[in-house]
Parts: sequence; structure tokens; C-alpha cells
Amino acid sequence: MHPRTNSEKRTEEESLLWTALRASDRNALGKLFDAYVRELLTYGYRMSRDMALTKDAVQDVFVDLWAYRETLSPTVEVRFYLYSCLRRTLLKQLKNRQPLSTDWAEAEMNSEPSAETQWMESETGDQQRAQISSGLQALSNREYEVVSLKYYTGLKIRQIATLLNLKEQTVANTLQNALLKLRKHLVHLLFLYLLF
Amino acid sequence: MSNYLPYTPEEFATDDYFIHWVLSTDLEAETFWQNWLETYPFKRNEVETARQLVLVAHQLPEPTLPDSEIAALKQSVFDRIDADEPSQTVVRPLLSRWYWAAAVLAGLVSFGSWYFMTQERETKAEYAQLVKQATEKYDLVEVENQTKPTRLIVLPDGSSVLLKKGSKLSYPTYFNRNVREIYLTGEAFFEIAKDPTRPFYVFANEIVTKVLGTSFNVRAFPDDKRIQVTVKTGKVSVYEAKSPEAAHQAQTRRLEGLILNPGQKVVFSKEANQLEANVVKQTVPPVSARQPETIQEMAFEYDETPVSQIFSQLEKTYSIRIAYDHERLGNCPVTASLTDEPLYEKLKLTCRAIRAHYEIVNGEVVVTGKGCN
Repeated sequence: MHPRTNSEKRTEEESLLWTALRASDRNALGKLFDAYVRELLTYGYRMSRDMALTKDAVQDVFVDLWAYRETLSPTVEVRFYLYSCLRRTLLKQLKNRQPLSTDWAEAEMNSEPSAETQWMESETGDQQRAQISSGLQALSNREYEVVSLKYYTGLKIRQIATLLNLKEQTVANTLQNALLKLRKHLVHLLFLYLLF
Repeated sequence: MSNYLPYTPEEFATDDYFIHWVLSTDLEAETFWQNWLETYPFKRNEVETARQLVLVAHQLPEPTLPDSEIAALKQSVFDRIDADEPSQTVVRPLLSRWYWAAAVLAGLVSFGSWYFMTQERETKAEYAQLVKQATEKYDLVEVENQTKPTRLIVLPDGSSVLLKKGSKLSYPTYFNRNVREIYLTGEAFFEIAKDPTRPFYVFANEIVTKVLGTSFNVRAFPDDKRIQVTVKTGKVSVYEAKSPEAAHQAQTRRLEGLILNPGQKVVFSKEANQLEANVVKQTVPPVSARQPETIQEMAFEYDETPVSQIFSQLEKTYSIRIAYDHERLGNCPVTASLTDEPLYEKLKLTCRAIRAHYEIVNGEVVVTGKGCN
């Protein structure tokens, strides 16, 4: 309905980089890395809550991208492609290390608020974030992931659905539920935003 | 415009154009939504709630990694790629064709301003030419310092460079598996991250400085008649780019040729028809006892030193700003020997000693920790 001009320009640059990458241009790989590394790390970290694991996974994604460059499809939505690679890699790694965080790897997950709170508090030590996390506690892991993808990555609902292997309608419903829950905490959160 | 009318806050908050409005400063979207609100003022509450929802959802916690860690990650991606592939690095002979021409000319013309002008012009071309050759194998970044006394640059391997005024440095966005090569015109002080398997080369006009992990200063302005390399810590070897040794040096991981130890300085004089090397021993004491003014003379040795003192020394030396809770952290004592470490290594080790960590936010170092009481 209302195209975002910036993202269009970006897509054009990306397809040039993609073509260059498929033709074994290392600099193209470097540029794709620069463009995406931070958001991939953020996504991976939010999902796995483990920075070391996330860094390994992101590294694997780019190494594989180079290793299979000649067999890559010529037309690809780059961001979507990278997210799905990362997600696959992370799930594989999480399954390998059994007791930790496997809940995320399971198809239907219930929230585990204690782990989430612990993660955010220990990693950031930041009061505001810890407080937001208490609002986010209400979200299931899946809701958390959908919200994260929707508001951070700019992926479309259709892409998120494919990424998570869900129906579009399911994603839309999940998002609505998550927002309803967040709204209940909004008063509390707004107060915090005023403070900081 | 009216199709937004029945929207709930949740529906607004998932609408792409609405999200775009909240998160961007796009004038068109701003106009659209302001008009919309004027037309349907009774929807103001819903819109405001939706706006807050988007803001909260957008601000989920995210990790902040210092640039140095991102660079290290990139480096290891390319290291692994290199390891998987047979080496494609070709060792190029370092002497360029004009060098011979210049050497022959120099031999024919004994003295005179013509010669010096030519020499100067050729010398200026040298950096540009080296960089041009290098772009064939690297994706280079060039940094120039025209205004500040020194400018800090952190290389992909974590090494730090203080680039002096009027100088330029070119370096690859990542180093390959075998070698770290960078190009300088002007003057810079280097603190090289230790990596014995991957020697570090500084190409500065006629000379090449090779190190395995150490700190030193190179001075090679195009108009200087002399090129200087001064060693602060560790060992470096220096040789002429056109010497037969150059090709050999490029292939070995050991240091050979003219080896400099801490405090030693080598001067290449361009005034003679041939370049000459003079090792001046102990021109600078390795770490001076008198009040040191430049980083070359400065020690970073600490014994139960309050961290505030260390941070203020780093701030001054590298022209950076370090933000931390002075009350909570300032008095934490640190015992460490950091003279031979690049800046990020210094920060990392200092922070580790006081159980804090650092991140780079908007070019400023932010140190957070619980304190040490």
C-alpha cells in the first residue's frame, strides 16, 4: 500500500551483492556480513539467550553461504534467506546441547518466565530492561519470537509464517494475542518510560 | 483513509504503514497520520495506545557488541573460508617497475633540484600505487587524519593504530589467513595484536616493517627526506621494499633482516643516491623514566592502581572518552602489565580485573560493573 523507498533501494543493492556472491566475489560476502551481522546476532540472541552460541551460528551461516555460493538460488529475498539459515542452524545447535534452552526448539512451547527474566537481568543488569521483561513474561516464546520478527526485522507476515513453518493466519493471531498481553502491561511500562 | 476506521489498537499496531509512521521520521507518513487524526479525533486514544505498543515491541532488549567483536567475528568467518580452500594468496614481488627507473635515474644524475623533485613526485605516487595494487586482492578501507593530533583506528584483528595528523592509512576490511598487510603514508603508532602465525606488514613508501605482535612507530611522510621506524616493545624487522630480501621476507613467519629491539630506531635516508639504513641504538629509552608525553614513551604498568587513573591515561593517550560510574568503580585497584597490548586488549583486561565489561556506544567506551567493595 505504501512502499518504503529505503527498503526498495536496499533490495536493489542486495540483489547486486547476491549476484556478485554467487560469482565468488569475497567482497560481496563481506558487505552482506556488514549489512546483516548485527540484526542476525540480535535475533539469535533473543531466541537462544546465549551469545556464544549465537555468534557460532552466525559464523556458520556466512561460512555456509560462501561454501554453497554456486548453488544458491539467483532470486532470493536476502534478509529472509539469512534469517531462515540462522534459525535452522540455531535449532540444530540447541538440539545438540540437550538440557539447555531446548524448550525453544520444540514446536509448541509454553513460556518459561523464570528463565527469561533471569536471562535479561543477568545479561543487561539494566533495571529498565528487566522491568520490560516482566511485561514480556506474559508472552510465550513463540509470541516473543513473532513480535521480535515483526517489529525488528521488517519481515512480512508471509515471510514470518514461512520462516516459522506456520500458517499466515496463525502468525497474525499469535501477533494479536501478544499485543493484547503487552497492552495490559502498557500502563506499567509507560510509567517506566517516563522515568528513564 | 477511512478503511482504518474500525481498527483496534492491536490492528493499528500490526499495520505496516502505521509501524512505519511510528518508527520513522518520514514526512509523508507523518502528514497522513496527522490528517487522519484530525479527521477522526475520537480515535486518538486507540492510536496512542497502538503507538506505545509498537514502541514497546520495537524496544525488546538487544545485545550490544563492541565493534571489535563484530570485526573479530568477520575475521573468523574469513579465516574459516580460507582454511577450507587452498590458499590463493599470491606473493607479489614488492618492487615496482618505476623503482628501477628511479634507481637508474638516480645513478645518472648526481645532484640538483630536478632530481629531488622527481624523487618527491615518485615518492608520493608510491602509497597510491601500493594501495592500487592492494585493491586487486583486498577490499580496502582508507582513513585519513587531517585535523586531529592523533586519530584512533582499530583494525579487524584488534590491533590499534594512532594515526598522526596529515597521514593516511589503508587496510583491508578483513585480513586473510596468512598475512596482515596495511599501507601508510605519514606517521602512525602501532600496537599490534599478537598472532605469530600471521605476520603483520606495514608498507610505508620505500620500506616495509614486519612484526609478529608489538608496538612501534613509523614515520614516512612523502616530503620527508628520511623514513623512521621506532620500536617501543617487542621486535620488528625492517627492509627496503625493493631489496631482494623483500620477496623472501614475505614468505617467512620468522623475523629476518634488520631486526630492531625496543628503544631502537632505524632511519632510511633518501638523500643519498641509494637508500641507507642506520640503526641508532637506544635513541629512545624503551620506557622512559621521565614524565612521558607521547605514547611511544609511555608505560602501561599498574600495581594496585585505581582504575580511574588507568582510564584517564587511556582517554588522554588514545583521545577517546570512557564513561563509567566514578563512585562505584573509580577506586577499584588493578594490577596489570598492559604496555604491549592494543587498546581493546587494554580495555578488556582492565575491565576483567574489576569484573566489569565494556561496550562501544556512539564512539564512546561505556564501562559497566557492580564495583569491587
